Amino acid sequence: MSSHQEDLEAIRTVVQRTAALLDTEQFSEWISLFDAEGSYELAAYSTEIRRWMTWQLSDRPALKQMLDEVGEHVRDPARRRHVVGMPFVEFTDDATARATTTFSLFRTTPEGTSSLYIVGSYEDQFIKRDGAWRYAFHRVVSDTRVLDAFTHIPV
Amino acid sequence: MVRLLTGHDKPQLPETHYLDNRIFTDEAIFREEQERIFTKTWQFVCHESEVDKPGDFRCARIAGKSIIMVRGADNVIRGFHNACRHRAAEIVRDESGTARMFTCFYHHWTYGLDGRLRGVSKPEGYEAVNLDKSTLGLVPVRSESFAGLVFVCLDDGVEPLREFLGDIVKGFEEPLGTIPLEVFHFHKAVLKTNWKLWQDNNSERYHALLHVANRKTMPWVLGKTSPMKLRIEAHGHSGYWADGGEAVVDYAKGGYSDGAEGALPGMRGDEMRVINLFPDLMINIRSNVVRLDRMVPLGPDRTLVEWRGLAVKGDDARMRAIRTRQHNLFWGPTGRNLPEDVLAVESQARAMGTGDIRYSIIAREEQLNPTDDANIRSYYREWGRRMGKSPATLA
Ligand code: FES
Ligand SMILES: [Fe+2]
Repeated sequence: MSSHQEDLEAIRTVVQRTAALLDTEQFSEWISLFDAEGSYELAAYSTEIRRWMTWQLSDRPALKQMLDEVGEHVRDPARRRHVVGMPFVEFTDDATARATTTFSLFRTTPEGTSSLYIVGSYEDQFIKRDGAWRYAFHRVVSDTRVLDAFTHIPV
Repeated sequence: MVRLLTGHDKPQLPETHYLDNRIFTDEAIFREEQERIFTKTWQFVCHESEVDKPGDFRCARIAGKSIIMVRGADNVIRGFHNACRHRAAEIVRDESGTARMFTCFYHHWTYGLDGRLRGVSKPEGYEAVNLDKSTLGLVPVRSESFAGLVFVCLDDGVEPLREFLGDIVKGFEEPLGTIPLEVFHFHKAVLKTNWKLWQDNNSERYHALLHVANRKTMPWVLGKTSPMKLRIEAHGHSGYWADGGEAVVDYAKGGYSDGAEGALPGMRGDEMRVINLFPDLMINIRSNVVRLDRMVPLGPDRTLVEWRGLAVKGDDARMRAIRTRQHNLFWGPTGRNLPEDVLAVESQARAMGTGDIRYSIIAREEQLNPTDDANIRSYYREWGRRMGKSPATLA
């Protein structure tokens, strides 16, 4: 396999792991997918006020604090499952890349009723350090703006 | 035989200190509220910045009506019912936009930004009946503004806005009204709850116990006294804030970066003010950022809530990022507090819907500390006055 193909596979795997780790609530492993300088954004466009909005923007320490405190919060009891499309990857150089991936996130209540929670796309920037690809910027763009159940857990 | 407790026994409390939960679930009471409260009070529709330039318009629903707010060429913000005088199609079908005039999409009648009927298509067809265009403008809605907040009132008999607001404005007129602000955040959701439970949630600080973020950053809520005091004003309006002394939010205790930078006029660093206008506007101010909640009740157990975040117009990117972070930390759709508040009020609505517990208790008396229920009692006194029935006995 060419090294380009390996890089492509590595980035696709990071995207799949992102979703899987959130679904199983392995938050510290999820954070480790970010570069030390990396950050997470949840953004949406409001047609009402005709501008882009940042709903959350956190660097690694802020993500860690938030996720460490998940157990102290009262939470939506539904479990969540991502369905993630094939990332479209563009390399900017040997150690940086951009990727766009559509995703949807469903919630299933303890009684077993499922509903769509959010549909949107990941618009990511990757950086390769010490042979590993990680998020320099993991940007989640949510098409959904009327949320059925709120959560501060990343999407 | 031992008599079991029932949820329908009246609390042994003064009538002012409890509520009959049917005011949150009953269909007929809900319809009466629309009539006696929502069409007879000043209703917040939008912030001035949402209709910033001549031609900018913004749509809103109030008491089942669709309203257009538009800034005219003369810079006056006017309200109109969103319906064409020809055959009543909607004039505007977007949430917001910019127009030079309004052309109805159905048969192309056109209206000016001032609502006047400017032209009808194929006018020769109306010559025989001498159609008088001057009587067929868009139907206006009373509109007045205060501190950048645009209100409308569906009833001509109601007092002017400033009189309706009364002295509660001292809590927000300086931070909101003395510097140009703009809406940088908007989201909405349909909560499966009664609209008053969302207002109550914002009014009572007792539930700071629900929020891990409040337990950490507002340690005084668990103590006996607080730097913040309830302010009870006329017409059911209330709020709570501190007049000085220690900071009311200790961000460092919660491990968060502080919210002092870029404080709005009249606000101290790490200050917080909560203002609840009767019936359904909430103004929450953290030193450098503002949150507004407005509601569109859809049914006894369905409520559309709109959330707005306000920041200073002309912020540089760094300052805007600070305000945005401060807003999102607690109040954003993925903030620390909002999801918990929503779970609480939806849970109440489910349990109240069973009819098993007839009464809610609003009996705390604590010298106007924010965990006192005096503001909620004042709110429901006003509700009772307008509805012509006691919220405790429904009589
Ligand atoms: S309904 Fe508007 S032009 Fe006919
Ligand atoms: Fe709350």
